[in-house]
Amino acid sequence: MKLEADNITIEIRHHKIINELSLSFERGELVGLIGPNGAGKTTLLKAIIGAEKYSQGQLTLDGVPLKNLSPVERAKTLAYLPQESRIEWQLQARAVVMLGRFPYRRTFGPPSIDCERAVDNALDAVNATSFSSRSLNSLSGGERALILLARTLAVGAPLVLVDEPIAELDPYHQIHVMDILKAKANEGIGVLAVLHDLTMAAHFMDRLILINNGSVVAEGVPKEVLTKANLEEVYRISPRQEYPANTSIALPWKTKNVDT
Amino acid sequence: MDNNKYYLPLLAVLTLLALLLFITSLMVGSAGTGFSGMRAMFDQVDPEIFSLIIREIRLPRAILGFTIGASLGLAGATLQGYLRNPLAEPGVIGVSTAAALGAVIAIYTGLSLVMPLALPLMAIGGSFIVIFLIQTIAGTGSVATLILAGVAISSLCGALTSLVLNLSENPFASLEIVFWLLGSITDRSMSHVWLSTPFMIIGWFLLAASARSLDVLSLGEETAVSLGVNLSRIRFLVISGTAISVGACTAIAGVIGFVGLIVPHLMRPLVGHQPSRLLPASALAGACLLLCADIMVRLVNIGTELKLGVVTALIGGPFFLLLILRLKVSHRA
Repeated sequence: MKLEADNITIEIRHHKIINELSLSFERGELVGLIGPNGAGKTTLLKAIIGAEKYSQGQLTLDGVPLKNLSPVERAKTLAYLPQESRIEWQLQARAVVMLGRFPYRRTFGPPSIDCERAVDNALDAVNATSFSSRSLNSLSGGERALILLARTLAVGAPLVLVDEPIAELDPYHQIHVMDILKAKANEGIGVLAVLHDLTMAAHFMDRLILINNGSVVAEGVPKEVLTKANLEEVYRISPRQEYPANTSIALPWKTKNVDT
Repeated sequence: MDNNKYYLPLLAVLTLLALLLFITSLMVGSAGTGFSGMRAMFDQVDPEIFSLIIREIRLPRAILGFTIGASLGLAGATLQGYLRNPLAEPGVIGVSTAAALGAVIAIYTGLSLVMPLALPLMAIGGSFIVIFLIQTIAGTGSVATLILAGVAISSLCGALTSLVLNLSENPFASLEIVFWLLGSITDRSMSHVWLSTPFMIIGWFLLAASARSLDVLSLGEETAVSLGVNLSRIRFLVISGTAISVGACTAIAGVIGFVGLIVPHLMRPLVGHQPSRLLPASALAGACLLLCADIMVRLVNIGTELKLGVVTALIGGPFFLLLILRLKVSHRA
């Protein structure tokens, strides 16, 4: 299964956020979508899940326009974890994960055995079973992030879109979350992750797509994308780079204007 | 705490309580109260009059206590879930005042005399307009925006109601309207029941249909969309369901505030804070609360019977303040 964006343009209040952008990702791939603030990463994800309109171009799933899919079909195919994760009510963690099964549930009645099993598996996949009966607001930031990730995985979608899943986490939870995403990709799920941490992006991602001002600037394996030139041009920073064993680590070291 | 285990027993207890209060409501009144009072009344009056008192005076009152309480509780719970805001309530955001304005216009113009159905329809129309306005202005904005919009709209509707009263040439008609506005289900007949209940039941179905989506909305609108929720469908269900059920309540009983605020708040911890589960629990608890309050106003004898709307406002006002205080504290923490 392959998702393709073909020449997508998204305008918000006559301002082009995404400008004739094309990209694709498919099952089994762990793809990082990187770029500075305001590059259009989140807007692009929202367009893919159907929460943002695009004025031009086409989004297709195995060649079929996404617009032809019913909201429920689309929901079963594409799972989404938003960047902001405010939850209004003090829901039980397991109940939050169960919300991921919404596309499979009827209007009334208790969840099916399949739904319960999917929730169990999702909690298991993120190692969150032990605190799944607690209420969400009693959990630490890291535990909360794991529950919300489990919610996204519980959908059981072949393609998963995650928006800055590790932005507010400590190093342990950052690596834990990335490990989970990697494991999911190895199981055959396609993951498109918006990331700001370039080290993590280089370490875990199969492929990176660097976007700036709504267009793709570079695409390929991390080593090809995270070049000094790209980082200076797009991120306006001078990195300190290391090249251990066939990969590339770019540490943001100083802004470009200072001492270059 | 595993809330799954307690959910069905909770609903069973609430149903039983509502049933008990319904029967109690039939047994309370000026003609005779309690088992002994009922006995005495039965001995004194004609069996026909006895059955008339029960069927035509007490039964409509008990039915309306149940349906109106359930509607207000359900509408409150749904609005809170939809707006993701624990302070949303048909009264607080001005829906009840708008429905009252619609009803007052129907009474004032004599439209309700020509066509009884005009009363609930005008009230429903009033609430439709206001919920739409609130949605447009406050949407899912902050608590403050919502409350402010509600206050503004409430005072505007209040002013328009005053205008109608001001223009009324017949002081007795004005007085009647003022008393009606206070909110009560005293001296309502079965025809009031027939006039309002169908609307309320339609409203309940619309609100109930939104239940599952309210859960998903707690993850935010975009995530809800990604899970296949049709936002405009939910908006339609919530807005029309609230307008129809609360409009029908207000048309028959005047303004009875705060039930939709207090009840969901009390029920929320008991259902694991889940918006969908809050709906049936709040409907039943709302019915219990209103039946209970209506029994109280009949039992408390202070010369003149207290109006139901006055009692709920006297309890609800301080409760509302307390709730704001607690929200403020929890925001600071």
